[in-house]
Amino acid sequence: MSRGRVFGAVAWREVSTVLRTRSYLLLPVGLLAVFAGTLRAGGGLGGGYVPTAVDLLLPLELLVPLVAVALGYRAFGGDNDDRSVLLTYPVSKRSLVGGVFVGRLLGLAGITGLPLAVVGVAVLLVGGHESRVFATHGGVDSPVLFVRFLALTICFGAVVLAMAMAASVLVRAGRAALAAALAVLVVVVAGGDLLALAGLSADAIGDDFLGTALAASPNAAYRGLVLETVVGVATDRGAAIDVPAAVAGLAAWLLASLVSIVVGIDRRPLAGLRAGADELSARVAEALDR
Amino acid sequence: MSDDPVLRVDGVSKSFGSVEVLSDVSVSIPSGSVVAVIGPNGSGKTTLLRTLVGDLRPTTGVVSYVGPDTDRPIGYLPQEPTFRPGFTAAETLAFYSSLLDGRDPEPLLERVGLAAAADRNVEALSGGMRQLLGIAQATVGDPPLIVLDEPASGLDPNMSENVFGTAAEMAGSGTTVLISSHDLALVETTADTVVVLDRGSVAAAGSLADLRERFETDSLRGVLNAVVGDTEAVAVVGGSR
Repeated sequence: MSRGRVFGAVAWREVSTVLRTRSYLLLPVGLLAVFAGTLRAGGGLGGGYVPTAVDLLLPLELLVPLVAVALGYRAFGGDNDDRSVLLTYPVSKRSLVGGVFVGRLLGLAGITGLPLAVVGVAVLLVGGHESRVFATHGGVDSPVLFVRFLALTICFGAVVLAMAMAASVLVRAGRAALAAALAVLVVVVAGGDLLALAGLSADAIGDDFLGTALAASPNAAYRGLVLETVVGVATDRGAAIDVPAAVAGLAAWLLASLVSIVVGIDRRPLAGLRAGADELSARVAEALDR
Repeated sequence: MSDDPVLRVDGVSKSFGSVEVLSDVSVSIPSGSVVAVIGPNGSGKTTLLRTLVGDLRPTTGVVSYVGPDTDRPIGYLPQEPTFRPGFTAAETLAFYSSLLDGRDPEPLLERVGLAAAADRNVEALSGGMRQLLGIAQATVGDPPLIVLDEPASGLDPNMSENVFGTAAEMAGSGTTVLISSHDLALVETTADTVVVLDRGSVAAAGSLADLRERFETDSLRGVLNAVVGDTEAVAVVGGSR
């Protein structure tokens, strides 16, 4: 049995799981409703692809992590956890983790990509003349920029999905896994920005270093990359973030999360910590008794 | 039954934090036989089985599979099997089969009497039917050693008998079946070898005849009572913590 076939079988099971879970299928409908409301209020739809991307950027910074956490936090928990059985099959840890991640990422790409594609078609139909131009140079609104926006959004989702899956592996129990996933959500959505703000207030981060510091936060890196490579291209106003640092930041979060899943998948690191804490508290109690 | 072992367990201990659940367990599982692990609640049966299949790493000691070389040496039914919701029984087995040779899962479902429920979603299966699906899953790929953790749990008496009968048939065709169970009557009629666990240690092991003779009793219950003593209290290894 080749590793590729095992990987494919595992990934396909995840895609099938997403397709067969009704609550997941409601997500694109919900996203489309939010997009419609946002664009109606912001008026970006008639302005073209770039104004549409600008209108959707802020909601997506919250909604994409939400979808990623919903897909990832039980990827290795509850009824989805059959690792004790899978380890009796010729399934390597890398094939298992890679297959589950890619399968769920395809689900995420469908859930977030489909409503965005509908929005893209809507811009094509109601947008101005410029929106029908496939620009190869900067300074023009173009469907290419919207495709880039969509691709960046899915990449951002991939990073948060990996982080949520890592939380799912580190914390197995249902409620604890949910709490860990929500912690990931808070860290991704607000943690980086708040840290950067705190750093600025304390003069720990200078203005010249802000673009690089923000790259360490997944959502700030995503926002910066959209502003730099989508909005900035059409408006010639970039310099929102250090692009190589932002790409490196997202890649580092993704790789670190996937590696921690592979390392932690057959271990119980938090269980070990709990056992250690139990032992420590027992020793403290023993010492107090003396 | 052959004298050649399919699995060797040498000096295996397993601790969770400061609690030692298995203590210096050494046992040899002969091939082509039904081996039953019995013992009171909390004696370490599930921990031993999980260690044997590789789900838990022993703290000390070694578990060695020494059976025939194959893609899936050990099949395993956990005590509480989980199945992916939204998939039918046949799809569930087809997935596991696709990890090996991709064979049609229908004969496996027929073997455990689940053919009529092949197209039923796993969440619509009764507890007993889920157990049977788990047993079918354990046999995917015809592993030389099949480990079943309480396979009769949740099954009616006829179905329990059927499961143990299937285990005996598999052993007859060369497969080794390692079962943990509280159903001593079924163990007595099916098992070739019995391992009695008490507080994480092997208190006794051997054929039924050997054990009866050694403990001067005519039943497996008598053997268990002689070994364990007070069987009304749950054994709590590692004290009250």
